[in-house]
Amino acid sequence: MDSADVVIIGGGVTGLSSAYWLTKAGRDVIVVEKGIVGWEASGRNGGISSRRADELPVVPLAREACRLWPTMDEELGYPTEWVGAGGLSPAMSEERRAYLVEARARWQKLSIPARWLDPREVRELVPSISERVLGGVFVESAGHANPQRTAQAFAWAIKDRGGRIYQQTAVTGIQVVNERVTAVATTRGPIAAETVVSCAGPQTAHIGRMAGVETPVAPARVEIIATVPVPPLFDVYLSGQGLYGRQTRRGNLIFGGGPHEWTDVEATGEPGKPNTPLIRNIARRLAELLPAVADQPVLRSWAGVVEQTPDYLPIIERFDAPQGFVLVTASAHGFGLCPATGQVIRDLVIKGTSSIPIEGLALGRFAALGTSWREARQWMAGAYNT
Amino acid sequence: MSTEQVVVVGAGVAGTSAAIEAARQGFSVTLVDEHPLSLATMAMDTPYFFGSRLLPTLGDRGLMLERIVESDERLAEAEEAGVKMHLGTCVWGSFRPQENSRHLERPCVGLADGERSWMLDYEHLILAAGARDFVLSFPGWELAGVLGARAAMALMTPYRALAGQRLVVLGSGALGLQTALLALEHGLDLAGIVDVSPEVRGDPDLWSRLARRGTPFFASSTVREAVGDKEVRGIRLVAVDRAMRPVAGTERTVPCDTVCLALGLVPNIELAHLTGCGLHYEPELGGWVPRRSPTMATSVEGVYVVGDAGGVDEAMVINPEVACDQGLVAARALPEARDRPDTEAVGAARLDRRAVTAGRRPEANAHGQVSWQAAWLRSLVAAGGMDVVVCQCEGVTRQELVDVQPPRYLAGSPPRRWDTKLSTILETGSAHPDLLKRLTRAGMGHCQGRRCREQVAALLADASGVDVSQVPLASYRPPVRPVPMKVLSSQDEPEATREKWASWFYPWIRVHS
Repeated sequence: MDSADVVIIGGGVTGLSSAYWLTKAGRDVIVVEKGIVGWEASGRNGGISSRRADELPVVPLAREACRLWPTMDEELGYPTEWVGAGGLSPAMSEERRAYLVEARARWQKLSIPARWLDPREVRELVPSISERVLGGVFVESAGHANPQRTAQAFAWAIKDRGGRIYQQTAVTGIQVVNERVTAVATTRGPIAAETVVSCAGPQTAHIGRMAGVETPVAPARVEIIATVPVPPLFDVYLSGQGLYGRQTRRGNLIFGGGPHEWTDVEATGEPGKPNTPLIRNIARRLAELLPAVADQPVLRSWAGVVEQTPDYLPIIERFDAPQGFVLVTASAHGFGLCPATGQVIRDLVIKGTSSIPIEGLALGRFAALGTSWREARQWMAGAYNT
Repeated sequence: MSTEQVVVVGAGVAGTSAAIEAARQGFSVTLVDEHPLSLATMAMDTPYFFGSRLLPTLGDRGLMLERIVESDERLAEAEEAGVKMHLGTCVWGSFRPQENSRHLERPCVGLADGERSWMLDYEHLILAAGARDFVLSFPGWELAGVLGARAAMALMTPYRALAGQRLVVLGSGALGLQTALLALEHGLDLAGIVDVSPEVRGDPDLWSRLARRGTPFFASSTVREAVGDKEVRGIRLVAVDRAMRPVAGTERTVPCDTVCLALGLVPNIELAHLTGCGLHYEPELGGWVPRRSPTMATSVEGVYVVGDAGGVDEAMVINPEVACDQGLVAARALPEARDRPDTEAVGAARLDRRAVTAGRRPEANAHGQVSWQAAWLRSLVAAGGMDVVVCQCEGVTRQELVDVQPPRYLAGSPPRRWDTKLSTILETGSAHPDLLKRLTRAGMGHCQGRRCREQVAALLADASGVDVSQVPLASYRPPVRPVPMKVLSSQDEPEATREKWASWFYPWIRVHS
């Protein structure tokens, strides 16, 4: 029978990062991916790595991720297109300005380098921004990268170091004997392993259930648009005017935002990811945010399926029962956190503990949730913008 | 928003025919056509390979609109029949309620003219979006004066703005021969027709009209390069053997200022694909086409595809009646249409494209369309090499493509030696052009892949050792035409959308807590 020290279920950036750090630490790792690595949310997101300043339990993980990102090109040996110029949250309304002023003070207390910029300073950073800007918060030590390229960089680096990646291979079961994980059943046959890590994104509930673990996640579809390449306008990522996004190294403006639609996913196969007329509303806000380039064409759009936990925060846990089972869902913020999340998984697998604080991210916090939590929030499949 | 009964996309032969017939059947019909195109759109080689020689008159919208209307009397007929017309308007998207878009109430298409965009709900959709140029590259293909046949024909009629004196046509099928004849009608000199095949491929009657005028046919020949400074001055040809390899010592330069690629037509299936219509690969119809019933119905209820957008071959290039009939059949197939479709009466013989060409030139047709195009690519690679750009927008060469190289702007300094990663693509099980696209950027430029999709798929097929029909279709995404942000903008956005807008999932929690 095929075997490995660690089987990682899911070839998105969370699984790939985990596999990379584990392989580098000398473990024999197999990543099992039902489709193509980085094909889903990992390759479709906005590319931003922020300090996650409003989500206290994630702040240490985000700090570590932003510290690691600038080293990843050299670490992996392949380009991620990381740009570490920080992030700007411009205020385009009085309500948002008030929120950002208050938030900045909070963030500063968390030792997150957050500076208030007045409108003139914002325009120095982003000359093309709307004249209506009322100021903004600038956070250093953050940035953005190319999702698809990053996923592929991890995958190539894993293989360079002798790790294995099985694509077009679905997991069909997890074998648990005497409360220990012993093997993973796949469409390519069984793989014996002492440790199994679920990094299955929207399919987390399906995979968790195979190991007897119930995980509350709700998948949702979100959309992004991309313009033609335009001359260099800004290096920071932007979060404002109802949008989040960046200018790529090539010059495209890539921005998302707006209503999502909740959905359900199968354990295997590729979830549908159609775009909707929402791309017009995203285009409107981008034209309002950057009026100087509003005549530039939108070239394409795409959608991705992410999963949300009930409190929008990741779940990271190494279980006692079944032993050898680790589960992580980054709850729709996997990309930005991935260099650090992978190290956390490595440490949980090898040492049993994480040196990066992950208190508050255990599955047990949802123990009292009940089974109808999605209905209670109107997060059932088909619900829109709830 | 009210729902239109019948929306027809494309006012070519098939679309206009469908629109007029549907109106006569008593339906309320809207007919949309993107011509006249804006100069900015044409400069992005959308929807045809216009190349970089575009006359400034093309920027005169009023003049171009007049020419479009004058060029086709059926447009006036459509208007008289009560069809609502939107010219100079593109259809950039098609959406319908489905898994993951259940909040949409009914199917709709997205339209845009030069000023604004809007959505149009429909009961029945007839896609008559035509076909575009099949493009292969060679050294010098970026020079002004190199363009596709579909583009050349549009610039001649109806735009009347083809700047060129002396034309060489690549490809001797019906498309090339017709383009050549049209050029002669418009007073251009015809320096010759080039083909890798030993004989003229296209209809013998068309060829004889050209042969009579002394048009040279450069048989068993391919292109080394187009020569010139910024404009084409000539084209260097070289003979090829049966394996498509250049024959030493056979080079010749043919002076010309315009080179027209007539290597085939690719059905415009973007909207059909977005609408969710099932597709299949039909080599003799130009590649990926929607699966259709005899009444032009696709796998999606209420959606029909007619004309070149459903597949185009030699017979259809010669005979516009086939497309016209398809439009009629679809209109008559609409539920509640007064005339029920009668396939036999409309003419199984007329709908059977093969009847036109079969038996006329069996030798030429034994070398089918796709294998002919593959032979052309083989000859161009043999003659030009792998360092020729395949994606002009992003500057990706053939070699960089099959090596899955990251774009040059990411090269370290000095650039690392790159070991080919093609095996990465192949081991995913089905070499997917989208993956290749995202890593090399080929296909991500302003022409939305129109100038490189087919060559990328062919190169990928070749490198993977599979037939091109086994290469998955690279995705299409809205907008399927480049639309300026401010035009695509939802100026008609309801207040409710504005109020309940989250940049992510929960801003109001963040703001209010």
